[in-house]
Amino acid sequence: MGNMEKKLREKLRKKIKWQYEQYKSVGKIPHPLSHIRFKGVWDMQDLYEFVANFLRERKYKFHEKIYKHKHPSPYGVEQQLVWEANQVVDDVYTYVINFYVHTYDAQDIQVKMKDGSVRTFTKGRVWIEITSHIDMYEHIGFGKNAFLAYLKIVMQSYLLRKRHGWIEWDVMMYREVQKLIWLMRRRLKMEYDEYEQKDWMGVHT
Amino acid sequence: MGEVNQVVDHLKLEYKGIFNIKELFGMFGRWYKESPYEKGGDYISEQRTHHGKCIEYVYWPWKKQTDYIRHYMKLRILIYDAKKVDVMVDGKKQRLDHARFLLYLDGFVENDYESRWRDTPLFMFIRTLASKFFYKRYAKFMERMVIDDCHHLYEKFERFFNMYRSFRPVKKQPHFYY
Repeated sequence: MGNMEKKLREKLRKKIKWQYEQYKSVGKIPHPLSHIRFKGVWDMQDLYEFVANFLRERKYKFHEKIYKHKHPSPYGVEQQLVWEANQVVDDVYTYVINFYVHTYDAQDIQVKMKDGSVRTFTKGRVWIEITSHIDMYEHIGFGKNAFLAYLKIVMQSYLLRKRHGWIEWDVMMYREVQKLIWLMRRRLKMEYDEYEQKDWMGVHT
Repeated sequence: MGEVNQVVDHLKLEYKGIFNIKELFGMFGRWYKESPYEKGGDYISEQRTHHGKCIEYVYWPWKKQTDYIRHYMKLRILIYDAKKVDVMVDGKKQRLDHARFLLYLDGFVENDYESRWRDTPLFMFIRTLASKFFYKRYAKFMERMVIDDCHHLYEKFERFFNMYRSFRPVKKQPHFYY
């Protein structure tokens, strides 16, 4: 084996390794983390039902993965909730939204409404983290060997690049996730009530 | 489920005033019969409130264009505060509806709707390559067909509401109007 051939083989090996790393890194398109921090009185049941309904109406499957109710301290109850919602858009794309809800010092209080009825609200602090991403080619099996991984890289980088970045990412981020966050803020009756993409209707072809 | 491309994205029509809800859906039903779209109903909700009826309809009309390509639309019709009003039409009193109407129209092209080219990665690669590279012009042509259908339906709704634009409820008109 000549020196030149050795160099070429080494170069090819490095290239394939780099491509495989790239393949692994482009398995999903992540969105930036959003969070809500709130202190005051809110209706936890209403918030829960609202999120579940919102996602169900948009054909998401909603799962409550973790429900932790910690031992109450003198200040109140600490709860941790982890929800996941996913929607299979087509063969290629699956939208996934993850919620992490953590309440601190939460106490149930009875509130008398204007019409005289009494309702149970929660008083305390809540921290909600919303992460989301788009899974691509979940069930197809492009990771079986280097050749298939290479095919996937070609598709990602050349054939469907614009669609991944400009259509799917935008649609999910601005129409699903940001809208949900805005409506959740409204449910909590927070002062900040803005949703920049409220009138964004997409592209009219 | 194959590869879905959204080609018309939230085409919106808004109208507030007098129209006949029954006739609106009659017109829409006639459009179904005239165009070769199949009726795909998805969601209907009606709520009676103190300020009128609030109605929501979501339809998914679809048609198979070829063995490989299917066209479909998503129509979301929202009617708010629908109330019955009396209107004078050609010297005769008619009972019509007064409401706020909203229409959102989306158009989609679905490739490989029978999922014959999705089982192996190589098939999927060939499918993507074909639709994005070899048959690009053909795929664009198919997209244009859905776009035309969506605009045609949109204009039908527009024309329908234009008919009622001059109608006024009886109680709001001055006595010398008729």
